[in-house]
Amino acid sequence: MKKKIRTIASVSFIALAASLVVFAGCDTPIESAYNEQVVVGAFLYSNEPIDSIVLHRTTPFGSYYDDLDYAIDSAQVTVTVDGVPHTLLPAARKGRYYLPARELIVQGGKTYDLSITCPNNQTGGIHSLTATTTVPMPIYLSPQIDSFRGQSFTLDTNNLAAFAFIVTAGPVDNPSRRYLMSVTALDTNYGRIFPKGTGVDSLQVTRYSNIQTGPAIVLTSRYFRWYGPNLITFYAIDTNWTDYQRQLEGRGGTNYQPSLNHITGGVGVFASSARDTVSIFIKPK
Amino acid sequence: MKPPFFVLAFPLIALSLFASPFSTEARVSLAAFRPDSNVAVLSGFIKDSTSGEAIAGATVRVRALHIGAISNASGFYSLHIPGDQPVLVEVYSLGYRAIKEQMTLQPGESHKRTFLVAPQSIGGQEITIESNAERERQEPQVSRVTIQPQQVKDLPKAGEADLFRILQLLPGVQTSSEISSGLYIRGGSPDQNLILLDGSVLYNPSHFFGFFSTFNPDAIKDVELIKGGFPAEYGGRLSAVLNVTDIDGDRYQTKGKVDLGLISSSATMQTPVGTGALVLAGRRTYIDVLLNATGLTQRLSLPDYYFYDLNAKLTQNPSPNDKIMFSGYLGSDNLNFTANTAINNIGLQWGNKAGSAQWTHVFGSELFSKLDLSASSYTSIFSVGSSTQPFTWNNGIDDYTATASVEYFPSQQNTIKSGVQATEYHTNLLIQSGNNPPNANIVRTPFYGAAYVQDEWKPTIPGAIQDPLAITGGLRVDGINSNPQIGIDPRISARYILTPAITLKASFGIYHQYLKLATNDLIPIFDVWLPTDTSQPPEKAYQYVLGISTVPFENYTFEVEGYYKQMDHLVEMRPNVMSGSTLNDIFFVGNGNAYGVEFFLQKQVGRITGWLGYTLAWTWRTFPDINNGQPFPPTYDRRNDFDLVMTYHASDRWTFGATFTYGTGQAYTQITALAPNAEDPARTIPIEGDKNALRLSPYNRLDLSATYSFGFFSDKRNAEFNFDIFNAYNYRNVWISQVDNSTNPATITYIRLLPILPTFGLSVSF
Repeated sequence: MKKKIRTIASVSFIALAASLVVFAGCDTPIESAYNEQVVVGAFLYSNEPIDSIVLHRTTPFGSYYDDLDYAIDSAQVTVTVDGVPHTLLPAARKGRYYLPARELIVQGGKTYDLSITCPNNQTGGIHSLTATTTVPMPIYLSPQIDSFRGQSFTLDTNNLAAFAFIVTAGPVDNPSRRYLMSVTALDTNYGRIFPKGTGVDSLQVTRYSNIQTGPAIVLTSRYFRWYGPNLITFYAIDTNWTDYQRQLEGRGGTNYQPSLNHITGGVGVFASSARDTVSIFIKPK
Repeated sequence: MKPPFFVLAFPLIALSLFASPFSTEARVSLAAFRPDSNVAVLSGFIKDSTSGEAIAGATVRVRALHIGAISNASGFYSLHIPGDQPVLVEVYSLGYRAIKEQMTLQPGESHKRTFLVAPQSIGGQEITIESNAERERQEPQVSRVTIQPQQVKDLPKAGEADLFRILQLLPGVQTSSEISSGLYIRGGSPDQNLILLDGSVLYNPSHFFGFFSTFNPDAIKDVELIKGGFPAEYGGRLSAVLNVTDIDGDRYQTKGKVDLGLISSSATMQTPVGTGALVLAGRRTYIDVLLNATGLTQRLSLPDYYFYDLNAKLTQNPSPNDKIMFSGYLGSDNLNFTANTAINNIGLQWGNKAGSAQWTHVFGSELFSKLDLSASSYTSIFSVGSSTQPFTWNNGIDDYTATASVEYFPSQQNTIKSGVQATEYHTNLLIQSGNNPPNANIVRTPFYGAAYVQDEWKPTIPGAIQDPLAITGGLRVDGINSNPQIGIDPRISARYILTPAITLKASFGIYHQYLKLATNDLIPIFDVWLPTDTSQPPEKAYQYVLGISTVPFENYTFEVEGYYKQMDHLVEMRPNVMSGSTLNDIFFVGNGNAYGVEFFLQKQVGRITGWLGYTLAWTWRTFPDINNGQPFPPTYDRRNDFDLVMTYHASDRWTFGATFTYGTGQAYTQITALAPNAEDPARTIPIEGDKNALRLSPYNRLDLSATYSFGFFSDKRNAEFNFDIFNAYNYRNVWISQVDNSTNPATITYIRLLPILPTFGLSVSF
């Protein structure tokens, strides 16, 4: 009898536990709501005018994306430097804003404040965004690299490792300064270095993905996609650009990371750099 | 009721710190604490009669008096019994034949007795069954689970028997995915677990990008997992303790074993040496050899990859009261990929090295001492890019630890443990591209110190079972010299035997962790351990555990445990850290909590053994800089987790195994919108919604195994052939979700895990 009672008690206990599971164990995933945001794409360059600040609205995930559909053409865009506000003009292409060179040339060492207002199509209210960047001092390629200007280089696709040299620049204006490099094919009529089917893309602009801590970046054959004239650009970038780049190279994919976003009230980038370029000619062996 | 010995225990700290605990004077002074000298003391070791291996966790009891003791990790026990009275002493241990011996000791006598117990099949003698139930009943520690190495071998495997894969099937233990051997215990991340191999701390015990753990099942003797509420003797971690002890080796005969598997082979050898034994074990994969031999490496441009590990252990007994042990472990994973362009070369090497020396000595019959010196090292070296300007990532942690501890058995009511620990860490992280200034170059050499004392007190309650109540109280004080904060960690746990079939348990403790880990949950090989500094406080946890253990049916134990854990100053790595000199540059700081209830129905003896586990759990993190400061679950939060583990000993020749697991899908972050790439508006970048608010589809998997024993050029059954099916019904679980924004509209793609995977292996003993 005692054993029977114990068994009944045990079964009841297990049944109670099972009931707890049934009633308490359900998951309730929470769908995140879409919130319209303004995306800023704005890069200032030392000793150059502000030629294009690009504004878009975000696209709800799952919707068809089109650059012009989501470009913002009714924004009020102001850049303030030395306490003087400059209102940008809408460019011919929707969503782009610029300042004529006669009004403002960006200068290294100065701080620029960006202010944007535009309608919020989702709520009917107003988006209001601000951001700040301090422009790096001008940088120049080393005389050795500068001497490459206009020269021809032969790229042997059977010995790609042979094509590698270090691009250096200076001066270093800040020990915590970061550096990037890109290669732009100026004329794609000379043909692809890596034919279709080789698994190598045909980007016209390739960017060295790793941010460098010093003004020395190795230039290898993998940054060239097209024969012909190619423009090598060396950038000294500000912290906004560094953090933007960190988002692009994110762990687990490219995502806008709130902790690396320097646009108050929106997302994107308002960054600045100093840059120097050299054009070389790549020819096949 | 006699007073607790907490107060008396404090002088023991002083003893262990400032005086030699091994001196005669110490023995005399400790004897003064004995509350009742009218008893006799029976002490000694419990050992395997066939190999001489010490047996931990064996029960020595006098049934008529309801008193008993449990052997410690070295197999030592000490039992106070009434003098001048015949008593029947019984010795039990799971998997061994019981011993019953009548003896009469004189009052004040100190009798040394080593019991040699003979192994037997767990196919079911009732005395063993009772032993198991008794052990469960007497166990004062909450949330403690032991795993027999044979269980690891009998259950299905994915090419390789793996301890961590079995541990992941216990309630309260989660995994991040089936290709991860990381242990996420009660809402804690793997870095919050103290993992010990023969006393040495292992920092990243994984092979094959986390797919396997570093423990070679053939070299393991004991596995003890404490999922929470661990006592004061352990520290420096927030969540759990995994204590793995390698075999000491056979002291009577030379024997060996060879395992041949599909992806690796291993060999173990044990032999008597001097007054003890020597064990050597090794394992190596041969994927690289097979792929090279078949030409697949070149044809498919595959990297060369292999891992190996070596275990060695030498044990000597210079006297019956002394045991000296030297143990070593060396494991390494190596990957090399040479691209045909020679500009995308990848070199990757990571691994652990550990070594320890241990001396245990028994003073009289009531004082057991242990001195441990250990060193452990984890390194990871990664290099990618051209030889002109390679990107390199080197990191590592070295740990040099000395510990001294004593266990004092002054009476049947008290068992006091006390000890000190000193550790020097060397941690380093170097991230550098070519000759440019390093992105990070962090070197730290902090010193960690700790002292603890704890007393297991079993008050005598008249009219009740002799010792229904056991209270273990302890205090651990520790700190690291890179941060001024001192951790004062009280720990208390209690066990109360309500009826012979029902035991109640509870525990509370405070825990500090001074090492912080930067890692990637998906590929945990770039683990960076950094000691806390003045920029961030040490991590701290408050753990509460409440449990009930029952014997609902013959041969079964059923446990329910609820827990709540508050964790402060947790860290999450800042995204894509570029540089940093303090912890604050590298980590966000936040808090977390975890709570849940676990159900564990277990059968350890009989033809069918195994368990059924269910966990209902919640885990939350709150960081001001993440998810707009709102609470979010970590990816490994599982609301429901159900596991069935079963081994069927069908006959002397055939053993079948099955494991089934079902769990809530992994938490992930929904993509709510796309934003144009600022540099190229034709391309888009995803924008995330609330962190980890959504769930992948529920995880489920069935694995099966069959093992056949036979004679391999011998009349004895010295060989086993095993056939395993991983993911028997070929359900491709989801690993991660990814946005494919190469399509328009962008879509979500799911990266799926392994399909059905049959494997086989052969093991031969000699």
